[in-house]
Amino acid sequence: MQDGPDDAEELKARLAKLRGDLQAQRESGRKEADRKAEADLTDKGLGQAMSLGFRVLSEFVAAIVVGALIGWQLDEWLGTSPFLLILLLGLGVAAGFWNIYRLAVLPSGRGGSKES
Amino acid sequence: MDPVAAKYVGAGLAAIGMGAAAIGVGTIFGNFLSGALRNPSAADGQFGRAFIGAALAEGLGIFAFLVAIILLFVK
Amino acid sequence: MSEAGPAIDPIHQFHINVIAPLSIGGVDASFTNASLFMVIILAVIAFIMLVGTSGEHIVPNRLQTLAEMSYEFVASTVRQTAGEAGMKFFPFVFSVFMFVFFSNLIGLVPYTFTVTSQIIVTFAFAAFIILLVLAYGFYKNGTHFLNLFVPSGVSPILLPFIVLIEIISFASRPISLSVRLFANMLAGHITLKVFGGFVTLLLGAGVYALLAPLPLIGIVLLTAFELLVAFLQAYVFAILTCVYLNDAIHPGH
Repeated sequence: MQDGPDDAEELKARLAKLRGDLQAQRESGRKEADRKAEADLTDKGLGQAMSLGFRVLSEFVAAIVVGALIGWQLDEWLGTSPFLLILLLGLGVAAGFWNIYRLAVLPSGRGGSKES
Repeated sequence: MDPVAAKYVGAGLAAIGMGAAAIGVGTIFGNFLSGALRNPSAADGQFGRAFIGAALAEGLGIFAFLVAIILLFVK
Repeated sequence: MSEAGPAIDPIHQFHINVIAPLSIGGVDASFTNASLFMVIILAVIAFIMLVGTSGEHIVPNRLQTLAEMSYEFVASTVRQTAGEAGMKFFPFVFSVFMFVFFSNLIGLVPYTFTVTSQIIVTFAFAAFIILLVLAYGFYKNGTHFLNLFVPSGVSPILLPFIVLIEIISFASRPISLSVRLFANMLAGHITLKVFGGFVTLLLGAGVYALLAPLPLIGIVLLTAFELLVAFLQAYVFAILTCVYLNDAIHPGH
């Protein structure tokens, strides 16, 4: 029974197993970190999402109100009774949805927030 | 029915629009949650869009509120 | 619109009462509680920033971290939204953010006056920002600034409508900027005061006094939510200022 080679063999096997365990440990550590980072994202995500919601709400309402105001004012001056009001109101609605489309597709400003 | 009473009744009816908006917001978040439970990994990306939908529904509710305020306060 | 009963009047908190009447050239510029609270807000911000940055020791104390954190936060927002060219406006955006944030915070303390819950204050901010955008846009880009209203890649048939839509959306910016902050602050504080009214009502109603803690818990939750809304409104105000300045810096988006 040659001990030498068996020992070497057995040692190599144990080393390989150890390396595998280490790898698995490092892998699960990284997954854990990713999951935690993702959890952080949702915390910050709430603030990000709510600020997006506030912006969408006020831009939608403001665009339509401004459209209606302009239409109503032009009607007053030009005496074209309801027609301009209806036209500008429709344009205000279009402006509202156009703003929201731009907002939803390109989250914010030039660079767009990195994480979303 | 004298106009002042009609004005208040109108404002009251307009306030029902706010309730309808609340139902809209409720369904949006309800569906978002059921979708998020079914596929949690995709939930974060859509979190912002759920709020956009809710904001739009709320916007229509605000118009009902606007009508009620106009009825009450504009002479 | 205030409810019956002298005790509960959620609108009372918004009354402006004159402290020191003063009229300059016929204009009633008296020192009111609103201006008093504006001075208080400026004092708080000045205290934090001046004392915070005076220490300069390596391990920052609490105040220094607060000063540095707020600086870093606004600087990263400006860089991310308006790019490096936007940093020229950083002092302005920073002061707008700090003033709105601290006025919202100080407004949450009971018996204080919330400066940003007055439409005229928020509209003054928004009008100034839009005038700044227009002035800087025309100064830097001259007439090219107008192609902000003509987005590229639009078929000429649709052009008049698109331009009209862009004009309406540009005109709605100051209104949406000011009404958003105003409405959130107004609604938040009215709700807080109405819940406060519930507590006093229930306490005074004999056997129902047992229910009094319920609206109290409601107020605690609402105040927490108001803190979040206070920060978010200041953040949205600052980030939109950057977005609009970004439009002024390079109009052809």
